[in-house]
Amino acid sequence: MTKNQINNKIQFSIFKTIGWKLNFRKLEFIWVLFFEIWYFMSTGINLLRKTSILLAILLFNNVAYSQMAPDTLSIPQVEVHSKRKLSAAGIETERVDTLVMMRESTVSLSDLLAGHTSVFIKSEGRGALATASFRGTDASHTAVYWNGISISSPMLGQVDFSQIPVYLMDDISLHPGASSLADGSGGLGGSILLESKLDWSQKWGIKLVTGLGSFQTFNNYLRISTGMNNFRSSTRVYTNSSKNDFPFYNNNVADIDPVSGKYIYPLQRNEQADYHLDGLMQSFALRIQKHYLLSLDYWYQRSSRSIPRLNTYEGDDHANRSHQNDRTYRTVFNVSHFGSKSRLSLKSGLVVENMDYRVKNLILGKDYYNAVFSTSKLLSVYNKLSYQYRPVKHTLLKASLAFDFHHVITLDSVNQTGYNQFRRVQGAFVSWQQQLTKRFSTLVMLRKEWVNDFSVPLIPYFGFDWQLDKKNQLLIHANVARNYHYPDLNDLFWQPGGNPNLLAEEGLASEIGIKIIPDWKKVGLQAGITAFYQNIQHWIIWMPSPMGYWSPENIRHVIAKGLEVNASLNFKIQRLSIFLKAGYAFTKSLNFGDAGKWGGASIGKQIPYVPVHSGNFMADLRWKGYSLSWVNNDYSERFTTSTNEISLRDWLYPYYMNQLYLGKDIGWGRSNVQLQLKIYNLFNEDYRSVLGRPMPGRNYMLVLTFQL
Amino acid sequence: MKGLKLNILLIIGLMVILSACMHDNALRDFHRLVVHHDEKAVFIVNEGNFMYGNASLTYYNPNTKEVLNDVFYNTNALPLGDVAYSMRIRDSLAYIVVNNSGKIYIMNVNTFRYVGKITGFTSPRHILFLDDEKAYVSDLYARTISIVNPKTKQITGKIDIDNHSSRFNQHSSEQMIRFGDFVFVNSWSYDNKILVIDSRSDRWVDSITVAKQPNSMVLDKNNKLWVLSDGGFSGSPYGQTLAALTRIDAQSHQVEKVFTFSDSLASPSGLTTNAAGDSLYFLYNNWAGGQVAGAGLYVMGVDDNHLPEKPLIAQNRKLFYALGIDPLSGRIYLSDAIDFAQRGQVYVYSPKAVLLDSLKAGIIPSAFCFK
Repeated sequence: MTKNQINNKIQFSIFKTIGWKLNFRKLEFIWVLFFEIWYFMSTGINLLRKTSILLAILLFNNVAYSQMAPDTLSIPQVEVHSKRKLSAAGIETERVDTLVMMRESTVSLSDLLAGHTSVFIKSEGRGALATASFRGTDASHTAVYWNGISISSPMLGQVDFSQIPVYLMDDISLHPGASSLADGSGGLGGSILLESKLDWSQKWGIKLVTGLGSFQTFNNYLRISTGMNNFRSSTRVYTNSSKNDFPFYNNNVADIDPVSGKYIYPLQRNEQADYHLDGLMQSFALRIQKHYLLSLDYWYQRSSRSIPRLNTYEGDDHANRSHQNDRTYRTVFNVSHFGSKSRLSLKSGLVVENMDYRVKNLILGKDYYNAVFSTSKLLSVYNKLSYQYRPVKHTLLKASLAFDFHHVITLDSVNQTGYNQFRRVQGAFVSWQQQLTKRFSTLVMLRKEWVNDFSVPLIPYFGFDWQLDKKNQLLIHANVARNYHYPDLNDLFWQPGGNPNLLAEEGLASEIGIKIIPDWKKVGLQAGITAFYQNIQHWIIWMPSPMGYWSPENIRHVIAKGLEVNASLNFKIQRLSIFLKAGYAFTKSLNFGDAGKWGGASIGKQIPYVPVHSGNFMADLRWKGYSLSWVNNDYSERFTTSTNEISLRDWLYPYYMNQLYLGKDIGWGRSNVQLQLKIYNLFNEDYRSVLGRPMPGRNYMLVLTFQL
Repeated sequence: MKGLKLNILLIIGLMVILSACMHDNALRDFHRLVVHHDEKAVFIVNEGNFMYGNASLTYYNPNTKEVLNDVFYNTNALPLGDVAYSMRIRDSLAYIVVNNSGKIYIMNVNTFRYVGKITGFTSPRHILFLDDEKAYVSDLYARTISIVNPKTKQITGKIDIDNHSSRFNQHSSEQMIRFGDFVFVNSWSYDNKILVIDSRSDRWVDSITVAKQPNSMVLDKNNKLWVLSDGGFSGSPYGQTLAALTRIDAQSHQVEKVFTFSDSLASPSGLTTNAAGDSLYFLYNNWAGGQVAGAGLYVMGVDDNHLPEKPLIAQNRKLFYALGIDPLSGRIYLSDAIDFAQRGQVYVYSPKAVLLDSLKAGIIPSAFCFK
């Protein structure tokens, strides 16, 4: 037998014995995983095989345990998967599969979340503002963290997910509902955790992703990883741009044919909708002795985007031209000490953001005047000291102290309206995870915050995990918490209309669910169903008035109830690997505010823009280097009125979005090259995400990925 | 049995896939509204939500109490646009100014059929006819007033009202009232002027200073121009003063009398007069958040020498958004936008404030036009 054949045999047997077993104890599994990685990296099998097998192993492991949080207590920066680690007990984490991240690397986070998670994405159009909402709550109730610091705007309390390309992130996980309290307060609906990590398993690497798509779309990404011994560096540069001028028949305006009297609908292009996104992300990490880890991340992004006019606009073409520019600088510094039973970390983050938004009109055919020219400067400083201690095997204690500072200056130079405000946030957090019996674990968390001089009421959380069977294939989990969302700076101080007397929004979140992960040899299956209940009071809503001023009030009271179901399956038929994943959510998010303010007809009705039914589905087939993926995303109708009254004109009818990706891996020496053809909106459907905006028909992207 | 199951699955699958191919055209697949209403009626212009494009037009017959909502869309299968702001009727044609769609839709007032449009505006607000071939269109941001020919449906010129100041985007133009050869235009947005346009030369010839933010005006039987100012909002960089009602002599352009409102929270709006021109009606409320004492609809005689003390119709828990006075019957029309995200309510009162009818109009009813 040739060396290769021997190697193959050994590989296969190891893969067979290790890869297919699901029932590991923690230490054994870590050791075995390390061994796999070490073995493959050090043998002479070609890199293509190495990478694809490694990927398959990691993928498989990931798939099998994607509902569990990775434990990074004792080994930093390396994925460790095990069933129901103590640090994951009593809390729900939904991790996005690495396979999904690979397939969706060139899109923005909004597209990935829409197609693969239960989070509802409301998008203003292709490349336009996209916000996320969990379980029938508002976009400002979704907390978002990158490498441990919040990236939600202190002005709006939201994140625009169209501005975050997936390829920058190595890990994306969700904490729905009450579980968001593990990360911070204010995430009444849930939280999203983004991580850009360093790869400690290899000393150097290059990854290049370049995409060419319809409507002059160009996505380019380059990552260079280097390092030696205990030091790693990773540099990512990227640039995305698109003219975004897709064609569409505009049925909302018509000219009348002078002879026949018939309507002539114009074929138009989505004009004034171009976008550019460039950036750089640099990370450093240093391991000192065995106990210290220092890391530094820097992320600079520059974004520029034109905002199109509505499809009913027939005004002056040189008028109402809107444009938004954004420059964000984010730095995170982290130093951690790892003891045998403890970990102490200090994390500091600095975020600087400069944003401007303008609407300009050409006056008398001569000069452009700004009708609106709003500039915002934000400075945020985050500091967190956290300590984790495991006195005995079944107890994990955590505590942290946080001190954040925000400074926002905003000014509309046309009207001179704006504000200049500071905000201090001090927080304390304790958590106690306890494995009470072999099958029952609990988690108690407490958060306390002070915003400026206001003491936010105590935020408590309780959750448990109950393993029903001996083999740990059936698990019941539940949690309940009370959370507060302090009003964002714009709510309090925006001119005109800001209301400094607003109360904090208060939410009660709870859920109970069951998870099944059978111990099958040839097939990896996991499934879960969760029922949730949320009760949010004093929800802040902005209301307009005759002369154009809007003003926020704590007037909404929402009760959101629903069900989330998800399942994933993977197996092999000879050399064909199949991965299937599906999710469905039923969300009833009803308005129970004051009938005097809302009118009786709104009470008990679904709040605008939250679909009652939402679902997604992915089927991925791999065979000999070829891959075929089908992604489907569906939403039922969404209402734009508080009474849920619909007219044909304003109907956001249900839509079923389908994409198809075809890929081929091409080995090229020591590198791995993959070519992928992506077809978006496969069936060329008409669909509406919001009113008044066109959406593109079938469009394509060709992606080349090169990895060394 | 197995075969049947497979067939069913296949059919369901096909149905799912085929039904997934929804097309926007299906939304236009309805029986058009075909009517001919030439009796006296009231049109309610509903703004809709800003940036949603869901403005609409409501038809109301006060004698038969018939209400027809979304008449423009149901007749023409074309949305009215984004923020329909005002409407004027001339020769059986309705001119609907759609503020955030930069156009004016022309509609047959009896059949609701779309017959034409004037496009190319920036942020149009009101239209004023000078004769059959000339009209002025005011604008919020363009710093000009457009001159249009309603017959050819073209913009034929512009009147420059640029203040050449980098602050506050002045002057905006809002309502227009004709007096002889002159047209009075109020500039309310961060402004305090009444502009005087000479309609013979189409030029801005004079300015009259009034209290901050004049939002509405009327001409009374004595040829006096009344201007209602809301005074601005608290914290405004343009400053805030007390709201006021100013009386200007239309001939001499002189300010004759200023009635000042005592409550600094008040932002009165919607100044309207009756056909006789002897009474002034306005809405009294706070528009920058909060409540004000005595909110409601007020009426005042043009010869009165003080502001009315009590409302004719108290607002209570309602939120009066727009006001219209039927020139023929003197009936009072008031709209309540409720939560601004559902169909608004319109209340019809007799001239003596007796409630006669109440109907559901479109989202944010903001103007009334009487045929």
